[in-house]
Parts: sequence; structure tokens; C-alpha cells
Amino acid sequence: MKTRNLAKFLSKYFALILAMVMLFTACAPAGDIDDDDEYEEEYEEEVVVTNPDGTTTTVKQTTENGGGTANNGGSGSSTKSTTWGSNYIKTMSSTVAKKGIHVLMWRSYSKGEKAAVESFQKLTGCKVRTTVVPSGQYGTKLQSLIAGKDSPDVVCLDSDQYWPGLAVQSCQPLDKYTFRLDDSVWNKNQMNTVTAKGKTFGAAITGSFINEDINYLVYYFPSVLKQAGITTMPYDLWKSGKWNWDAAYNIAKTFYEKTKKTGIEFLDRDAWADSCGTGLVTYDYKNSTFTNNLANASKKKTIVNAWSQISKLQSANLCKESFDTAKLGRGDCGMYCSISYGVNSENDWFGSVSVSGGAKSVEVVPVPAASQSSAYVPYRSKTWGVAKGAKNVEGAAYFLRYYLDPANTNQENLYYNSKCKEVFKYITAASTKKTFMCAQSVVNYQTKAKFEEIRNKLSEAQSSAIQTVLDSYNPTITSAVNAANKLVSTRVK
Amino acid sequence: MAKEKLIIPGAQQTKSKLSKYQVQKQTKSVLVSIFRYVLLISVGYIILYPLFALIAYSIMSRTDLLDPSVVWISKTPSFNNFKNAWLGLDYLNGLSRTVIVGVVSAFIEVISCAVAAYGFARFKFKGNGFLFALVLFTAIVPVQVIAIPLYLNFRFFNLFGLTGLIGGIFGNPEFVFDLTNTPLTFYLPSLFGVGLRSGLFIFIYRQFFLGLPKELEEAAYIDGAGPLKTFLRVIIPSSGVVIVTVSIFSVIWHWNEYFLSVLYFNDNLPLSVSLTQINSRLSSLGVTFETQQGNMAAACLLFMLPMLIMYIFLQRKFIQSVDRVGIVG
Repeated sequence: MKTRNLAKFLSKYFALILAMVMLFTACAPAGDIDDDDEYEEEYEEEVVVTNPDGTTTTVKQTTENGGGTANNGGSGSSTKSTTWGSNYIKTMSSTVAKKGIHVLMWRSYSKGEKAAVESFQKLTGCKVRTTVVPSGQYGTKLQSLIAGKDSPDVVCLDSDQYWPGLAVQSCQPLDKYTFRLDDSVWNKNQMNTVTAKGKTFGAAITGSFINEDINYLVYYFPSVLKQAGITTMPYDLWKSGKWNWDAAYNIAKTFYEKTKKTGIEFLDRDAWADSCGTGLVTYDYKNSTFTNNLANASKKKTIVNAWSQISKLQSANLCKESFDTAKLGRGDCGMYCSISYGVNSENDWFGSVSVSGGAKSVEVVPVPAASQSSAYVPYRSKTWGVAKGAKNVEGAAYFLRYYLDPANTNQENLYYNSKCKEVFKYITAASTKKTFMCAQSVVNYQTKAKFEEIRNKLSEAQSSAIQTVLDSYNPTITSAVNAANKLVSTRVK
Repeated sequence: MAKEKLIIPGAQQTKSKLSKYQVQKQTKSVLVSIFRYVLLISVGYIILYPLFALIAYSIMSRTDLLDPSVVWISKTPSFNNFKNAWLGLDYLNGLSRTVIVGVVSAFIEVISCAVAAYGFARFKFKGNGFLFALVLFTAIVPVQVIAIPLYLNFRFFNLFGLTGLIGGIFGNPEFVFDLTNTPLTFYLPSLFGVGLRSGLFIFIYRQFFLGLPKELEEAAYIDGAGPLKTFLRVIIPSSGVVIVTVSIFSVIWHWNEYFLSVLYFNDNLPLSVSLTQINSRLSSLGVTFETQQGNMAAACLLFMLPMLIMYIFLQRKFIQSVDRVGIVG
């Protein structure tokens, strides 16, 4: 009896002590979460230097973690460089390669991309670990990994969803020397769209399918338009400088009258309007500010005129919004205004084409505007950044330099035909005027799906009512712009 | 003498009144019957339409999918979509992962929720009501709200700091278990009654146990059984119907679980996540898919198949249990 009572007493108090210990130890700090600043850690590493005469020299040098250095030529001196050089891949040190790279993707790699990743691993000995997350969960997963100190080294910053919000909150600015940001290979135009206070959050290479797949184009099949009695193709009009809204309207109208099918279908109608060069919101990377263009009378007039074009198409029953690329291939619509993702034959948009000429006969032209000379290429930027707390920033720089390079993904052989290639190169050229479509991300950052509501209302409105619709949403856009500006000014130091 | 027909004044009138009433009653019955069938067929069509569409699209070949005249019945049926779906889902690995993570976790939850609910139903202790309210609260709060803390909990699993205390003795005070990417992220919450929809299951069990006669337990206590033995020998055998109900719901919810799977796992994903990535996977495997619809439809059917088979076998018990437990939907 006494033993039983003693056992009960001891077990009760042991449980109490255990609970107290757990409580106090749980209250102890678990360690600091990395703040925005990179921590510095010096370590020695071997760097392979390519000398001017083509020979290589291995030198030991100390480096700062996250700030890597690279030597390009000379006699092995440890000078920081901001350009890559031709044999950059060989300059990746073994220390960096050993760490491996963690890439967070929203889809599986395409064949060309997979080949590029495998070749990178082979050349550098650096293992690439890829985590594929459905795009809807991308932000949550990224934030979880960062909080869990398992930050990915490479993340995709789709401007639609992640600029400025997630990019500024979860990614670190790219270091000028680690990424050799002065190198001409980088697409400064796209990278400026994710730059604030002189700090760039994402990398992009000019002309790469991987980050230039959300520029807007107009697709069509010549055989389908010819059957509808259209003799001059949009490509020919573009080549002769006559491709504009009116020409597109006439083609759509002729097609509709002959076939009773939709003249033109849009993935996103705001692309058709933004080709005028003025979207609802503009981003100025030099001042790191977003601007509501409705506040400027002359820009507002341009926007009203641009949206009137859609209204004109809508009133004549010539256009529709659609995600179905197969309709174009069946001849169920005359033209399709959508993203340049479809130009890459690996993405198989036109894999099931029943029109004469097959998939290889598809042609593209830039989105028209009031006149060809005044046309801008509307685009959403897709850049690649580095998450906060990433363990191998230098490895990420090498990986992105290699992975985004069109030469490494067999891109030249992936176009449907030479015309597609020509137009894609035109719209992605640095000299081509472009409109960065940032309104969606800014407005939706504050209120989810609000931009879609605005777009739908503008599309459905009569020409005379467009100004009224814009005025009614002006406060919403202003508020969203202010919120975005506040986010950038407070989060980017 | 001729038999005189007895004539009751008004009798003729009464007979016709009855006929009228009968006719009305019959007409009403027919109309109600027609209305009932129309309603059931309409609702059935709405519920079954997606399934019929999936079956129809899954056996359509490329030609059929492009042919506008083909709506339901395929002209050139083909099972190529199933082959692509099997490949894209990495079906066997995905299925084994789903069973290991989801189904096992579901069965752990069925047991743990029963234990918790019995405590709430039969034992009077301070804070019973408050704790039960908290249990219901866990069922109301969406998991997305607590996603990051949940992730961190498993990423730095330290048993309220105990691992740090023990690790400190051996020179590593920051020692923690990283449970992410393991099935323990589902097993542990299920074991402690805070898994998927555990609050709801505890509520269902509790309501059922409250309805059981106390005399059963009293008889067990008189025979010298303790609470645990009573629970195992008396309550559980009497709770077959509610256990079947909760099991089916739990398995199906774990089978469909998507958000937490994406959060906790980086690779070896269960089928629910693979389903969303099938087209990009097929593209990366070099499979030039004809159109996405057929592959998706076939993939959805493959995903649903194990649950359909389970339901076919447990259908009778499930209907009985729903009837007795009173759970709808």
C-alpha cells in the first residue's frame, strides 16, 4: 500500500517536473532567423582562373559567403569581375560545386531544360536538387522553406504573382559581382522590372524561352485565313509596316463574315490594349515607384483609346477570351493573341492541329497598335532570383547563367519555323519597345482577383463608357499603387 | 317475391364522392411520383455528369478529341490516355506513397479520435466543455491559416525543447528532428487527435457514445473491468457502424489531401499532387500528348479508382452506418 502510494506520488511529481522542463526549454530562443542582411563567413577556396593565353591556374583565396569572387584572366590575381567571360563554367570552384544547388520550380523541366541541367551537373560536378511545387502553392512553399532554413537557391519570379510582394519579402538582391551584372548577356530590360533602389531581385537572359515566354504575340494559320478569303497575311502586313489595329480588325471581320467563327481570341485582353505603350500602371525602376497612369490626362486618353479597340471588336462580335489553343489548330478562330510560350514547339500548343499545313505552318506577329511604328510589345516579366537565406548564392549565379542561356537548351531547333523565330527574336530584342504589364500584380497584391474584375468590366463596356469604368476603378488602382510603393520603400533597404 | 333493392337516399351520391376522392388521390400520387423521379434524375445527372465526362474523354483518341461531332461516344476509342496517365502520375510509386502516408494516417486517426471522444463522452472532469470547444475549434480553423507554424513545428521538431536539453548534455544544444518529407508529419497529428478533420471525427464519435446505454459500461465495471478494458471490450464492439463511417471519411480525406502534402513533401509526392503536375511531367518525359483533356480524364479516373473499389466493398455497411449515425454528406 505504502509502495503504491509512493509510486503514485513520484509519478505525479515526475510528470509535473517534466512538463516544467518542457515549458522552460521551449521558451528558450531557438536561434535567430536570418535577417535581410547576408551574414559573412570567410573561408578559403580554390578558384580556377582562365589566363589570357587559354591556360588555367588554380589559386587559393579567401572569399565571403554569398559574395563570391571570380577571376577572369590575368595571372591569378583575385580581382572582382562583373562580366562572365567565355569559359565561365570552368571558373566555378569545387567548394561551391560541393554545396549543390536547390531549385524551386512550379513545373517539371522540359526536355531542353532537363538536358541543360544535366549538362550543368556534368560540367561542374554540382548536384542540382529540384523541388517541383504546383504554381498555386509556390508562394506558401517558398515562405515555408525560408522559415525552415531550407531556402532554395533559385526561385522563379513571375511578375504577375510575385512582384513586388513575394519577390521583395522572400528574395535577396542579386550581388553585382556574384552575378556579374554588367555582363551584356543579361536582359537589363526585364531585370529593371524587378529592380528597386538600385537592387535587382531577378536575373534574365535576352531571348531565352525560359524567361521570355510571357511576351504577347498573335498566332494564326495561313491556310485558315486563306480559306476565309484573306489574301494578305498578318506577317506580310507586319513586314511591310502596315500591321495595326485596323488591319487586325479587318482580318477578324472578314474571317467572321465568311466563317461565322470568332475573328480573334485573347488569352488576356489587356495585352491588346497595352500595346499602345501605356498600361494602367507603370513601374519606374529608377525611382522605385509605381504610377497610376489614370492620374495623367494624356496617358488616360491613350488608355481609353486602346480599350476602345477591344470594345470595337467586342461590339462587332469579333473577339472572345479563351484559354483553348486547340481552337486555332482546328480552324475555329482566325487569330489568337497569347503569350510567346507557344512559340516553343516543346510546349506542344499545336501538337494536335487539323488544319492544312500542320503545326509547322503556324505564324506569329507582334501585337498591333494604332500604327506599327508606335507599337510596343506587351509582356510580363519572368526573372529568376535567389531566396533569402540561400546557402549557395554563387552556385545559383553559375546555374542561372548556364540554364537561362538559349544555347544550352537547344532553343534554336525548337521554333516551328523561321518566321516564328524571326518574330520571337524581334519581340525579345533589346531595341524593341516594350510595355511591362505590372497592373495585374499591383492591383491583385492588395485585393485578390480585383484586376480580373477591372479587365472584364473594361472589355464588356461600350466605347463611350470606358472612361466611366476607368474613373470608377481609379481609387482602387491608386490605393493599390500606394500599397505597392509602401511595400517597396519599406522592405527594400 | 322479388327481392327489393334497398335504396338508401343519398347513397348514390356518396359513392360518386368516394370515386372522385380516389381519383384525386391517385392523380396526386402519380404526379408526386413523376416529380420525384424528375428531381432524382436531374440531381443524379448533375452529380454523375462529371464522372460520365471523365469516362468518355479518357477513352477518346486524338482524332475524337479534335472532332466536334464526337461528344460522348468515341468513334475510335483508345486506351493511350491511360498509358500516358500511368506514366505521368508515376502511378505505382504515387499509389504506394499515398497508401503509406494517407491511408495509414487515416487508420491511426480513427483509433485516436475514438479514444479522445470516449473521454469527452463518459468522463466528467474540469474543463471538459472548454476542451471540447477547442476540439471543435480545430475543425473550424482552415489549415492554410496555420501552414507556416505547422511546417516549422515539423521542420524543427524538438518536443518542447527536450531534444535541445538532451542534445546539450551531449554537446549539441541545437539538436532537432527534421520530420519534413517523412510520413510522420501526418502520423503524429493523427496519433494525437489533431490530424485532418480530427475535430469533426471526435464530435461524431462523442455523439455516438453519448447515445450508447450506460448500463453496458456499468455491467462491465461491476465485473471488475477498468475504463480501458470497458472501452476495448464493450464500447468498441458496439461501435462498428460509427467506426466504418469515420474510417471511410478519414481515408477519403487523406486520399484527397493536397495542401499539406505540398507543404511537407519535396519529392515522392502522393497522387493528389502528381495529378496537378501530370501535363508538365509528360512533357518532360518527352511524351507528346495529343490533347490535355484525355490525359487528365484518364489520370482522374486512375486516381479515383482505389476509392471506388473501396466504396463498392463497403457500400452496404456505409449506408447502414450513415443511417444509424445520422451523418449526411
